Amino acid sequence: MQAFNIVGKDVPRNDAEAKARGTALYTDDLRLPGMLFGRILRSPLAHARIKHIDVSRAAGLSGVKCVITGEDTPKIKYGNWRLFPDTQDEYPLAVDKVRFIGDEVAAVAAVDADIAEEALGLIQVEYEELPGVFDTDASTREGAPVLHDYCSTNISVNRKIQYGDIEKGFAESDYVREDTFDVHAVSHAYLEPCAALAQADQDGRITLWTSTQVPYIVQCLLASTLGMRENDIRVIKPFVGGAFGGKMELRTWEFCAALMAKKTGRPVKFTLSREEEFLAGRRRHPMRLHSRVGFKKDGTLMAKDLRIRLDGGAYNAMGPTATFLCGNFGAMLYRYPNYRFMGEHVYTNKPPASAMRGFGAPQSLYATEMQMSMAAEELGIDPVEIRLKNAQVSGDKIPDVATISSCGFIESIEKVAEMSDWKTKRKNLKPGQGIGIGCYSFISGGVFNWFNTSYPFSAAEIRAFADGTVHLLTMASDIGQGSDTALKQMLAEELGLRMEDIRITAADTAMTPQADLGTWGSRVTLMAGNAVLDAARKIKDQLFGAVSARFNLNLIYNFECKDGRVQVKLRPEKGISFGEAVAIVQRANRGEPLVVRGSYTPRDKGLVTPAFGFGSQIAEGEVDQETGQVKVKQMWTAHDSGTVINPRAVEGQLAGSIQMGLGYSLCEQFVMDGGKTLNTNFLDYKMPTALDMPPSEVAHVETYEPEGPFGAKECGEGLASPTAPAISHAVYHATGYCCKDLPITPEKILRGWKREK
Amino acid sequence: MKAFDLYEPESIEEACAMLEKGNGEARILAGGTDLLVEMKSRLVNLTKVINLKGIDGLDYISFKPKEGMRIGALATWSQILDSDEVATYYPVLKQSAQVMASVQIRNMATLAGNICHASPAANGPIPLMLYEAECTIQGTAGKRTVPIEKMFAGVQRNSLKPGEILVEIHIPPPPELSSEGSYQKFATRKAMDLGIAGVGALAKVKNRSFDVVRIALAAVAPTPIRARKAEEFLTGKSTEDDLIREGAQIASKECNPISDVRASKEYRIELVKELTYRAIKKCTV
Repeated sequence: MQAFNIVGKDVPRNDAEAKARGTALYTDDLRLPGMLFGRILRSPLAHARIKHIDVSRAAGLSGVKCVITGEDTPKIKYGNWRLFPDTQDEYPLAVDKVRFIGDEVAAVAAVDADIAEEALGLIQVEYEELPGVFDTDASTREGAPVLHDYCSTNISVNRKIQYGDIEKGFAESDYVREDTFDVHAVSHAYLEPCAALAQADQDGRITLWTSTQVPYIVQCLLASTLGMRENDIRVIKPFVGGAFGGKMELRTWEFCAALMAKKTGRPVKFTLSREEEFLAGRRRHPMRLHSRVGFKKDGTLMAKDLRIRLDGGAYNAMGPTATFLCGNFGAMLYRYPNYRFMGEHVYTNKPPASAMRGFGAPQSLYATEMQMSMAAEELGIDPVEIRLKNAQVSGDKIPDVATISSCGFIESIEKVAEMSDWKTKRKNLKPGQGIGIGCYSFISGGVFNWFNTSYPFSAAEIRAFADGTVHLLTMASDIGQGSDTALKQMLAEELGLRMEDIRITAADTAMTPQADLGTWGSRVTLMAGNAVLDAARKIKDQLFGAVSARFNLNLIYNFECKDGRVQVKLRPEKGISFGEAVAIVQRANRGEPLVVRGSYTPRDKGLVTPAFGFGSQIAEGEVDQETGQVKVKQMWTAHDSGTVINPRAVEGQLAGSIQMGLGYSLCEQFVMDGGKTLNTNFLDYKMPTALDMPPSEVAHVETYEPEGPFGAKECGEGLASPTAPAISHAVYHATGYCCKDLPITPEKILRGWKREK
Repeated sequence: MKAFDLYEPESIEEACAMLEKGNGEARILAGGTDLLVEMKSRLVNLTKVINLKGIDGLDYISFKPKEGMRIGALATWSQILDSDEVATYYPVLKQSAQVMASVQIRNMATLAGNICHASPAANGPIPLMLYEAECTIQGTAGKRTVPIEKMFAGVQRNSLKPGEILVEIHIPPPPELSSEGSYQKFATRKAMDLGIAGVGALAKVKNRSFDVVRIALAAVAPTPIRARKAEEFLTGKSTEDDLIREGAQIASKECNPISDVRASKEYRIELVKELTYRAIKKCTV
């Protein structure tokens, strides 16, 4: 193992103090002179044709400065899947039709938010209501109303994966089981609701401050949707209070703020309410998963046939990616010699689902893991053993995906079983008590270029100064996960500097280097990290040259940047300070500052991901036999994230993942009546609180990922998957009830338990 | 939030007069933790808000052995939680304060406001019904006193008349009991949550049988209710498990819950049965 100075240390987060003191500025904190406040009028109907909109009364209200509808826009559709323009199915404001309750119909900008709200009530929309479809069965039935004209059925995307001989695999299996799982929608529930502030300059160019995880994607799509050029749009990401996949597209309020700022000549700000977020916000895809899986008597996996329907809601959003990925995740964790996947993304008249932490993995792996646990029971094999038997290992090739270059999966299973005293507890728990396991694999960023970017996937610019400091510029977006700190740590390590020697400017599309696809798919540490290292190495080349010339050294010497110096390796007295070395390079270049650019784009890594994270989690729980309430008593996690750049940050990711997994498995859900979301506040949307968190222990399984910076790979999203199957397995162990339709509510447990008794 | 006029009276009399003049478009603000939510989500159409906080001396909690406890209209849940006398003499009230919302809400919200908001799921009414508290109400015509149960007229509807303000809660001297009593709140989360069902119980056990039993139910009827049939059934009975179960069964028939986004009617009835059993059982150990 390589020894590091800063990488692998609990370096305090860059942003921690500002956030703790309340001085960090989020988009809604920003105020510009003359700023107007925007509000959005949303459809009260799930599916309707717009016959007429009368905005005259709203426009006439004192204090209202601008009212727009779809008619005031260029009517250009957008969507993240730029590579396939057909999939771009969304207008910023409804044109002709609304497709879900909450669909955006009009926008108002006024001198204060209350006037804007009042004006919404004065807009008269005449609708012709159309029949709606609210689940994938209804939506795919013969004669079902079709949501989009461009697509002749409600199935907008499908994806197949097939390898091996599936029929032969099942024929050779001793044991085959088939199950259907229904997994539900949950909210990202980021603490900062979406907000955007736009200003138009004297030439009509737009600056947009927005709570986003993808500044570059917003820049490009805002430009195309407004009919402007990319360079006429500048997107700046202030502090962001969480996103989890819910802020990775261009959104209506970003568009409206920009267009209305242009129209009025005044800055316009939109901030969504929590109720809007719950009513109409993006959510995790509900899915129905049919999975047939075959084993040999000894537990060896033989074949898997997986069919998934994603309930995408009214628009594609990031649904196509989720459709692709849930098929990959279905085969990523274990060795399936024969595998078939068929995925369909289905429109319904509900708020669009989109990316959410795990991107298809929590759903797909819930089915995988519950089936592994049930199969183990029926085959009389310990659930840990059946996993060890089939686990992927380094060097395994996943057909059509990639070769796994580093994998600590087996070590993670062994470690977590040891930490939890699995063998004893499986046998000796009392009635109502149970212990269960869930495992995961996840990507470290995606390879498939659905956005069709013409820039590197990640880029970094480094400016070095004679005072011994450097300035790192990157479009990587810290949305609370701590990437600004992690990137600084990697740069400090590579250049032998201290954290305080590095200034960082991030996520400003006019200032930071083109480009970065943003924060999603757990891509930032690996991709932006590699770009930073690429740039750092170019800086080092120049500094080493300067030292070599300064000491008139033989060419065979090697150099290093260490402790603020640039020196000969093994002969550190032959060296100068970092700043002196920079000064020499600068003088040699007639005063030109030392500036370099680095980048990263995965190559020869298949179409899915350059590196895979793995891990295992065990939950111990107790079910109240009379009320059905589940108490999760302890969680144990062992994960392989390659080299851990900042252990404290990884533990933060784990705590957040457990909190989300707890909600996903036990209590969070949207209560729907047809297309209407009934629980639009935190009182009735049951996100667990800090008091509900179980104690948790973690072990880092050390591996070294050759494709990752300093050997690092993902740690943000993989952990979103194991908690639900681990808890569900514990409930199964405790009660004999195996939940196939999340969430595992007390009422379902009581019903299931009685059946089992 | 819609614009409104804020009034800051200096006396209860002045507040009552303002409230009466408000003609249904005025409401009292104490802690504001319910009222402001309603205003922000436009569930109420108010033009006037009358803030009681400018009136001195309304945030008292006082106790005299012979008189019992008096709690002023502005006494907060945090004060109740911190009061030694509440802990000593009315422990079920303390238990209900412990499971009330969160620290931030408890610092603002008042017990009187909790009653006036008249949520069937509220934490405050259960212990007050067990201790048979009464409420002092002041209006422009003078004061009157009503038993706590008469404060509730329906879901989020109190029985105050126009111009009336709840100014004091009076809890009689603590009854002689054999245990602390128990408040069993069943909720999804450990904090920041409304109960799906709640049951409070007090009992005096003599010679292994129930001398006194009081049971109150939350979130399972349009208002908080006493389970009097179950109380009657258990009074005089021995403290055997089977009989407590039977009493709990009776309580579950006295309630009248609905199905809503939080739980089904059937599940709530099941919960009442179990929680009543647990609450009474606690009174016997």
